[in-house]
Amino acid sequence: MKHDDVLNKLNEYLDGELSPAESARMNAHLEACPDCRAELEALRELMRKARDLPASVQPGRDLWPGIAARLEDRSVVTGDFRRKRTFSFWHNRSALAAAATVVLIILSVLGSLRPWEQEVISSATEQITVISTFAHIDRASDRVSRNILTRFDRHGNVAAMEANDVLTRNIGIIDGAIADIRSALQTDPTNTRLAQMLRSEYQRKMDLLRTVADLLGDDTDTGMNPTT
Amino acid sequence: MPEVAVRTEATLISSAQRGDRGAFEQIYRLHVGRVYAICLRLEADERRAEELTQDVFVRVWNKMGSFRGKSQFSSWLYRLAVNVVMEDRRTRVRRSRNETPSEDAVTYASGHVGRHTDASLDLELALRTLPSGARDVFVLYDVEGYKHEEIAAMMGITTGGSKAQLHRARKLLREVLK
Repeated sequence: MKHDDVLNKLNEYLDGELSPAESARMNAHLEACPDCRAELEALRELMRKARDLPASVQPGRDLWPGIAARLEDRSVVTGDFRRKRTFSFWHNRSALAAAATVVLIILSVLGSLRPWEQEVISSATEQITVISTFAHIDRASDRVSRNILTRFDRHGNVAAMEANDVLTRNIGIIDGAIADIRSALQTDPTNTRLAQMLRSEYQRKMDLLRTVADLLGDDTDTGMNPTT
Repeated sequence: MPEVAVRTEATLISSAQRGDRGAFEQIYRLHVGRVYAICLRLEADERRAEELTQDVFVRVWNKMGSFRGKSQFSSWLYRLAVNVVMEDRRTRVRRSRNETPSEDAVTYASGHVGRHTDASLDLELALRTLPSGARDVFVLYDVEGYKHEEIAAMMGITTGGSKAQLHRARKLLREVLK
C-alpha cells in the first residue's frame, strides 16, 4: 500500500469503515512507517479531545424565565390541552398551541390598523357568522383566509400576511386530524368515540375561527355551533 | 446516571406530560447544560445558542406528549435539539442572512466554561474557526457520537458528504491546534 493512500484512508481506518483486507494492508504499512503512525496518533488525539469535551456547558444566564414566558403565552388559548390524550392525534395539541400564535400575531396586527383595514376585517368576519355546518366551516375558513390575504397583499401589510399564513397552517393541522378521524370512521363507522372526536375537532376549528373573529373586532354570535 | 435520578426523571416526565410546568422546569434544569452545549458548539455564537436553547425547550414542551419512552428521554431531547438548530440554520439560509459568528462569541472563552481543561478549551475555540458544515459534522460525529447516516438525515446531506466534511474538519482542526 502506498504512503499517500494510507494517509488518505486514515480517517476511514480510525472510524472502522475499511474492509478487513484493507485494514490489514493499513496495519502492515503503519508498522513500517513512522510518519503515518505519527499522523494516526495525531488524529486519535484529536478524537480523544473531542470525546473529552464537557458534555454540559451552563449558559451565562438563566434561560428559564424566557421559556416560561413563552409557555405562558401559549397557555392563554391552549388551556388544559393535556387533559385527554388517550387517542394519538398529536394534531389536537399542536393546533391549539399554534392557535395561540395566531392570536398573538393578529393582536400585533390590530395594534396598527387603519380604517380601511378594519373594513376588510369586518368583511372577512361576516363570512364566519353564517356558518352552521361542518362543510360550511371548511368553505368559510378558506374564504376568510383568501379574503384577508388577497386584500392585505394589495396593500403590502406583511404582518397581516404572516398572520394569515399562520392561520392557514393551523387550519391545515386541524384538517389533518379531521381527515385521520374520517379515515378511521370509514373502517369503524359505529365507533362512537371516533364520532365524538370528529365533533371535537370541528369544535376546535370553530373555536379557532371564532377567536380570530373576536380579535378582529366582531362581537356578534358567529352561530358556528355544530349540527351533527 | 444514578438509579434514584432515573426514577426521579421518569416521574418528572410523566408529570410534565400531564401539563405540570414545575416538573418541566426541573427537566429543564437537568438538561439545559447539555442542550446549551450542543447549540453552542453547532452555532459558535453564545447569544444564538441561548435563543436556540430556549426554542428547544419550548419545542420539547409542545412535544412532550409524543415521547413514548421507547428511547431514553435524553437521547430524544438532544436529537430534538440538533433538529431545532438545523431547522433554524435552513431558515436563515433561506432568508440569506449572514451566518458569520458574532464578536460576542469570543466571550465564551472567558465566561462560563464549566469543567474545561486547557486542551478542551483550545478545541472549543478551534471549533469556532471551522466552516459551519464541517463544524456541524465534527460536533455531531466526534463529540456527540451520531453515525454518518443519522447526521446525513439531520443535515439534509448525503452520507458521503458527511464523511467528507468530517475529514475536512479534522484536517482543519489539526492545523489550528498545532
